[in-house]
Amino acid sequence: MSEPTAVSTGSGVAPMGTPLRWWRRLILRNEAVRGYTLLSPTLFLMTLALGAPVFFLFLVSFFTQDLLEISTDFSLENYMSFLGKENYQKLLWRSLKVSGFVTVLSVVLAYPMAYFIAFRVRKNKFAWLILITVPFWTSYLLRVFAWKIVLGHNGVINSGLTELGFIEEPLTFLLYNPFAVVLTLAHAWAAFAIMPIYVSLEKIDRSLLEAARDLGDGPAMRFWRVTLPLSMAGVVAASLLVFIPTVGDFVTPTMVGGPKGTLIGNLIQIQFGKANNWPLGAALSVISLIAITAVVCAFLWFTKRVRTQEL
Amino acid sequence: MTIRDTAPVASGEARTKTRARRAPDAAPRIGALGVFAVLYLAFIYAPVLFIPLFSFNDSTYIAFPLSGFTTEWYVTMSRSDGLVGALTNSIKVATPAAVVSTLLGTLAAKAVTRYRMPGMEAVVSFIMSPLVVPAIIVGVALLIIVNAIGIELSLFTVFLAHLPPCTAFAMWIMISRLEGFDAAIEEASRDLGEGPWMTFWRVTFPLIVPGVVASLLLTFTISFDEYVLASFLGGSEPTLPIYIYSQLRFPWQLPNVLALATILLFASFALVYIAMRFRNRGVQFKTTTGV
Amino acid sequence: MDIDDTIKRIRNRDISRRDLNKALASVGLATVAMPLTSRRGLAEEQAIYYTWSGYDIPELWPSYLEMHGEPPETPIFGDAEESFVKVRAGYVVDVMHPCSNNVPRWRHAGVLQAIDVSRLSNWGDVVPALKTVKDGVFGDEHWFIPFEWGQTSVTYRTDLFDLAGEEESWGMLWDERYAGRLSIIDAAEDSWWCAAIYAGIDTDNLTDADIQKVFDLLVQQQKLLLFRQSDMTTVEQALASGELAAAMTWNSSPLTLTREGVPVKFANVKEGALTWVCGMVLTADAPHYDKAHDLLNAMIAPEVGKFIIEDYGYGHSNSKAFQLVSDDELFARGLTSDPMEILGAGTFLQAQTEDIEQKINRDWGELIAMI
Repeated sequence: MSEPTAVSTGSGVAPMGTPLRWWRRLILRNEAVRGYTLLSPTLFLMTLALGAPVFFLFLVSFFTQDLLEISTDFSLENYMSFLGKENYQKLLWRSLKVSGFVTVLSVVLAYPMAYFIAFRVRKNKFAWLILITVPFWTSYLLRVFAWKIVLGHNGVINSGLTELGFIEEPLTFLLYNPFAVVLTLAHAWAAFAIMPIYVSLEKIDRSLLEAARDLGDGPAMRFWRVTLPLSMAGVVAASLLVFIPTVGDFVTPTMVGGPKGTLIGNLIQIQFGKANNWPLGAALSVISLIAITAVVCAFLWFTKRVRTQEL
Repeated sequence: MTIRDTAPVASGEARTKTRARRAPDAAPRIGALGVFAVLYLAFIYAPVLFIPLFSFNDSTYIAFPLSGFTTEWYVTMSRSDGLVGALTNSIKVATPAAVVSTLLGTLAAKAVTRYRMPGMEAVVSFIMSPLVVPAIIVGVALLIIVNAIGIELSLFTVFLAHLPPCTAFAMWIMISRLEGFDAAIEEASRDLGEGPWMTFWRVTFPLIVPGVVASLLLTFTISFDEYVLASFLGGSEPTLPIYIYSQLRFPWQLPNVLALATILLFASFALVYIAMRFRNRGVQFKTTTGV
Repeated sequence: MDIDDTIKRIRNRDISRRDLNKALASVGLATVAMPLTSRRGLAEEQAIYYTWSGYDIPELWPSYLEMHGEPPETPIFGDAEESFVKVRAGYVVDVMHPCSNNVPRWRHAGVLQAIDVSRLSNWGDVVPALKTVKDGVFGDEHWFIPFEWGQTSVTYRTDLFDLAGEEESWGMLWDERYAGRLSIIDAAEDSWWCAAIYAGIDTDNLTDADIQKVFDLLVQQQKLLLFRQSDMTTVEQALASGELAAAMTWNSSPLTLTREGVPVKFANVKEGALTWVCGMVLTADAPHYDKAHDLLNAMIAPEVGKFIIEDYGYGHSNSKAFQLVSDDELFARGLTSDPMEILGAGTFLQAQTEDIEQKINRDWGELIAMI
């Protein structure tokens, strides 16, 4: 950020000249204008393709629907029905829990792997990163299907254990429950957990580790006092990248969750489809967004506190 | 904490080579961590590798024990116009989506990392929001907008719908690549009399290549595998996920789909191999230009 | 598009958005969107038939191919409701493929128009009961062309499910002995109605108490289910592996499973199966009105019926189709040469008043949220 421009005064009064020249001067002088000029195509796209839908969602959540008619009178009915129905609240809570488990599982598994690539692999780090991404280039549906092959009644685990004589009847607790949803999602989002952690580890200035060693720290202490705190940013990013999108997922619970593994995404999905109650679906989405934001803020606040205490 | 702290990056390897030499922990100790790495790879690969296995199994039912070896599914698959057509459609959508979103993401990341702007945090969160809004809502709302404008549904509208999520990911990746990028290098280039385009081409671009490659790979993957938006914004030509999903109605079609997935898996490996060759050349290019 | 057609539609002030687009394109406004728009454009436009995957194959419209040389365009949907949402939001097609019980609601939403059956040379051979199916006829107008019909019943593993001397019944899907080894279809259209048949209520005069009774039964059943299948692959795989002992399916599943040598039977439930008919409807602003009728006629030809019966295991609306298939083949699919024997038995899936439909669908939504 070495640009020698004064943000507040740089846009000053333009002297005489064509509007084009005036614009060019403005751009050259003012950081904010230059920044926003670069951002403008992206912002334009996002406003059109995303801002509008989100606005629409928010608006619709205050409507009501009867049969095919959507009444545009302001109403809190949908929000009240969420507050009034314990099942809905439980479902949201279950979704947050499932996503929480998925996040913890994927980050805990991803950290050592990222650490291994960042510190132990000396050649072809890029190859390792790609090796981790390639499985995710097969269709998501087929990957979920693949888990059914592994966990299913005649699946790999059950056939294996039966063959080895450990069990006589196939295990039934593997598939069609929240456990299967957590496992499948943790697998599906593995690459999204590894990348940010790897990057933050890779960025750590190795001379800090040397310094710690010179000060007499053993490997464990070095990790605890240098590596972990410095890679926390990556851990936080990975957690968010996994947690946020998984809360709304409905494909995985449909395929491997069974009635016990239904999540809030399924309820939202059905409101826009069969149940034909868009306003309720919109309100449930808004509530989920709020819940996600609350969890994320709490998480950020907590990690920030931990980090400031450590430093 | 700022958003920048948390931005993930796919690569920071430019510095790796020089640093690895003096890093105390870089001694070739494999040990427990290496064992874990192998187990982890097994975890992410094991389920996926059953797809090729069953694509050669002589039964429409995906269950053990295997019933016999056949290549029949590959033959029926290659004759299925629908399947091959869907694959082509997906590539037609994912390629421009990856290129355009990476371009937009790079510009946005450049703005965010280079300039101080009021309201920047809000803007960044806004660009990230495709990751949180349920796709089905975006799908329906976009469909209404597209119809209001009067654009006919086609692969083009699917491409448009894929841009926001792809751009969000592209920006995450590019921000962390550009983070800490020394603006002085660009200034030096300009002081030496290079125009802005030449500066970009000769200085900035080579530096961001790894990020660009990572971004292209990830955004291609996202668009290639997207179902909900494609189902709402697609016209008469289905993309691959839509085709696969619709085939699940017909159990006897499943092995053909597995055969296609197997080919895709191996094609990905080939693609990656080529990409790596390309990347290695990129690194050499950087060192020769002395950056 | 031929001249007659255009004139007719101009007279009806019925120019669609597609035409508007063409007009825009001609002045170059839409050219920005051209590089990626479809292969259409140069070749002559064909009817657009928005349908299920598996109904997008040339076997279903031989005479259309003969007449026009090109197949219709066949975009595919995941489920009928999705297609309804999309067309309501402005997606332009000619022909859609719902089941009869959807027709009144879609018609009410203004999505459909009446079909000119006098243009369909095969219409005379259609099974009379299907011609006049309650939800497809309004006044003397036909808004629905029946195509395939079948039953929803219980498919069970004869080696795994012990009837214990009892008759085959819907109760098999409420059998506590098989908790965790049962499944139903993830759609109110099938599962709610089957529960209603099991409950023994009068589906022609549903009361709130009846609806509550069905809901309670579904809640009770929920605990016994392994899953609710949204695709036939999942349920057939699970029956084949023995993971499921019994499941709610359509006619085609037992047929496929038997072909693969899995010991299953399509139960002849004592309360009666759920019968349904699906078929084609014409959209309100169908851009290819004439070709759409050619397609409809092609699809109800006897030889198409033969294909549907033999390959998909469903009944077809053309009564002559049944004479083209041997009695043994028909029997293997649970059919007979007289379609009325099956259509007359069991409970027929039909539309309710919109209030009741909404209640049923929202109940179904509640059920998903049950923990």
